[in-house]
Amino acid sequence: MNDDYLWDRTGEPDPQIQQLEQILGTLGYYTRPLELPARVRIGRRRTFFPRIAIAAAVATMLVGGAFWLLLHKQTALVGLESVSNPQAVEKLKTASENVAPPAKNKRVYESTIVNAALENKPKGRSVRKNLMAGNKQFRTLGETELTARHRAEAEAAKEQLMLALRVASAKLSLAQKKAHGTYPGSLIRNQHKIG
Amino acid sequence: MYEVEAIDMLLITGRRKPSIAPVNIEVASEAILVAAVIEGNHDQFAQLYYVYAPLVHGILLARVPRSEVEDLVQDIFLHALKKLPTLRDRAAFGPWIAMIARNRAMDFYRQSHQSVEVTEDLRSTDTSGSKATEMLDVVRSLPDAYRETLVLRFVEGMTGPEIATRTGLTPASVRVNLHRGMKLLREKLGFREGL
Repeated sequence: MNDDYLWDRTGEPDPQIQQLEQILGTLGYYTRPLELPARVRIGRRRTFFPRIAIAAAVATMLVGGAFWLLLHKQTALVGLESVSNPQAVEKLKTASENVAPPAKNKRVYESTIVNAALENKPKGRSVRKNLMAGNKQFRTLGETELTARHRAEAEAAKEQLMLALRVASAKLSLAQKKAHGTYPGSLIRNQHKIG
Repeated sequence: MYEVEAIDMLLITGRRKPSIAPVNIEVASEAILVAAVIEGNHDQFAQLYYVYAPLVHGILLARVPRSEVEDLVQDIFLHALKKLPTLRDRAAFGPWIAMIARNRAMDFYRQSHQSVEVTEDLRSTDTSGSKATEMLDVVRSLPDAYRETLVLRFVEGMTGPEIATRTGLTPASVRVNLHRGMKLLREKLGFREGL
């Protein structure tokens, strides 16, 4: 069998294949006019997925942003309300006295303040608006108080350090005098030998 | 999704007996033609029809009764025109429409609720009794892959490389199908006298 002729009609023709081509070729396609409707709308498939995805993303961002703003504003207002409330201020003072204000526990300290304010949270929007300025005062007051306490501690530490330095300095001078032979005891001994 | 308004019929005519267009030109211009049709130039679709009608005809002829093939070819091309925007690779129009034709051939039997074996059914419907029809029946009795390739080769007059290009199969696969199909066909035809 001649494969080349079967493949692409090259090479030596195979009589049997030629006979098949001749007989079966009569059944081949004779072009019939393609009947198409005059107005065929080749519609593109409408895929709403990208639009829906974009809309969903925007909506999610908006909702998330709104939630974050609401939460942030609520936390700030809680702090503000607590300042205007005398009871809350008293509790704050107590808390500030009881709770040490070191920098390490600042979050704990703040949470204690917030909790104390939450207990005495007044209701009403007008009150909240009036308390906006108070928050700044509260924060300034808290910061100055913390600074004073820190300053006192720093002063004490400074005093201790100075005392330690003085002691160290005295010991050093004594050692120097011993090394150079200017120590009064040795002088006496030398004087005794000389004498 | 797709709207077809059949006001009057547009006839796209071709030649009486289409000769097989050169493969390289066909592949190069295929994407351009598809793009033009999608843009609304339906006249360009006539060229696609002219090139690929024999392929669709051959695929159908290997599967469905001859009397149904002509109408199915028209239906498939109309369907392809409407679905053309869904074609992702515009250079793969041939494999795409070949797959549509195969699916449509399967749908033909599903819709007609025929549970009889395909080959027997085809023999009973083609009652012309001519030599060509008898030979075609023998080809149709071969396995699916072989009969499609052999019909395209002998009935539609395509060469192996052309079959590979238009159906999207690899040349090696087509060559194997031709070789093995021809071997089986020879065996079957050897039992028949006068062929």
